[in-house]
Amino acid sequence: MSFVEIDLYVCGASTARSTTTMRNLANECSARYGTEYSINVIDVLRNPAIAERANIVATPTTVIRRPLPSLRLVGDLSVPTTSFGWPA
Amino acid sequence: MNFAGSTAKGVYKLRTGIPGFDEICLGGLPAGRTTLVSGTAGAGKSVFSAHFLAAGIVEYGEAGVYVTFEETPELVRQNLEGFGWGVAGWETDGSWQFIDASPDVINPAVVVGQFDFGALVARIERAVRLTGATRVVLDSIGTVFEHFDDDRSVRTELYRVASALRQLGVTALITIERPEEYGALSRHAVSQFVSDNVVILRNALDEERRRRTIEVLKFRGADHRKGEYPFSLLEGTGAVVLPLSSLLLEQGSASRRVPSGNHELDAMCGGGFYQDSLVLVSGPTGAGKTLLGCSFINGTPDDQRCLMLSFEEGREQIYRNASGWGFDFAALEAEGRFRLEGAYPELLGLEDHLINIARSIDDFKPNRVVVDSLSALERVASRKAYREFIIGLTSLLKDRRICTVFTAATSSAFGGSGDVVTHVSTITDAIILLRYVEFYGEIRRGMTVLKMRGSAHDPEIREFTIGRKGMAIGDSFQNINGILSGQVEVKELDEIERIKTLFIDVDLADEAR
Repeated sequence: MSFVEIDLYVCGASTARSTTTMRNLANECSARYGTEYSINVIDVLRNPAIAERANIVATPTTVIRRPLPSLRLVGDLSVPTTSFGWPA
Repeated sequence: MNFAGSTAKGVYKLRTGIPGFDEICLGGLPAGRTTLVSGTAGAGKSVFSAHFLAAGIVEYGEAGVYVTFEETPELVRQNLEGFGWGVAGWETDGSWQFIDASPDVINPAVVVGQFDFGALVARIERAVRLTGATRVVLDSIGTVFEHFDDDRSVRTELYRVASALRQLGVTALITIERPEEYGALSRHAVSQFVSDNVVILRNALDEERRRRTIEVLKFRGADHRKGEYPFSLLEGTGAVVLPLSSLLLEQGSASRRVPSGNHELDAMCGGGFYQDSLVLVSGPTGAGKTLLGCSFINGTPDDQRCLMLSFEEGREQIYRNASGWGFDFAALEAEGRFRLEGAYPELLGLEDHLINIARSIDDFKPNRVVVDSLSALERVASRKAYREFIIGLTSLLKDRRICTVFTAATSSAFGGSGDVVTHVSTITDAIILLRYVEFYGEIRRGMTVLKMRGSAHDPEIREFTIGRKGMAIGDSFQNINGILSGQVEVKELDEIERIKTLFIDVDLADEAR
């Protein structure tokens, strides 16, 4: 199992939607990868240039950068995500 | 920014710079507001909205932001190249900024719960701040609905985008695809989040021909012209709207006369054509309509210019025929006093023909124009499109005070009138009819001035012949009735009288040359 690198784009770091998403994502990751993952949270309000480079339209967007191929999930991860092809 | 004045309710208009569009908007788009541009696939939404940005940069030095939801920026750049817009250069100098919101087709995002368009809003705000843009385009938001697959959330979020645009104070266009030319603005009920200002582009089938139009459906709190106007997308120019001037009847008329190119015809008209008049020459095929047009060209005064718009014959043919009648068009052209523009009627839609004609006129600035023939143009368009074309063309010519000869073919060889005449006759100032006349087993040619607005004219039907010196107009037909209706009735004469009428008029005509 390879190390999983994740970018999470949120709109405002402390909004209810952002914190819900961070919690859901962390739960999902620790269940799947134990400690073998990292989450880099990017607030698009503070860093619109990074959102621009990554072509982010909606927030929250979860970008699983590694392992390849990368995967994009849009939304607060409130629906069951078992069928969305998380990397093994 | 360039504001075109305000209304009582305080809505300022922003001049778009799209040719003709500001006229039907009565100034421009409502400034600081968002306007929805709705149209079917291929109606010209992208080019129209890109032109809005391009004209802002070129005409007014206003920067713009282009948010693309459908195609990648590379593709948009390429597409716009053909209209003469160097988008890449504008990006370098900071007057044009793309925001790429196009979906990743290879690796599409999966929707897993609630979302918002906070990132998109943040990116637009950043781009507007960086460029100082006053114009923003979102093209086209229909894709967003398909991509995010949750119509309610997308609608709510687009509403958020629209309010953000309003807070930024930018004038924005949002394009959306509609399934049909007439009916709902889109399949996604977008009127819920942007309904104040709506422009509709159409590319409808009208009697088996595509016809582009543009309509301002509504501007909240601001006036605009109603109804559909011809619209076109031109290489090297972009979107062009034909506002179909309503000034037609308000223009004063000049009393100056200009030569028709034929002395006898001048006399029949009471001293030539009026400088700003529209003259219709109607007659069956081969009766001499083009000849009359060519005489008119040949009679162009030394200090004036003449433009011929030929939709029937090519350059070679016209020059050959003209030299057969003793007219040297090549010499006239070399002096810069004559220009021939030829086009196959079928090649373009009538809106495009009209736009090309307007360009030629503005470029060459002719004092007189010959259009040969209207009938050739009539057969390529629906009745409605043709009527609009005639109104557009005649108002253009009237506006420039250009003396114009239109030729039109009648459907039958002997008498009667074709469709063209009934369509155009009320707009024209003078009508000249050419007719074949059967006379004791011979076909001869007759001509009459049927109408000459504001002037006395010869009411007789005169015989004319076509020879090496062009058109020779002789005496009036004697003892013969029913030429115009085609029901010719010859009164009996004794033989000597008959022979006299046969020869005298021809002799007279030769003497008059």
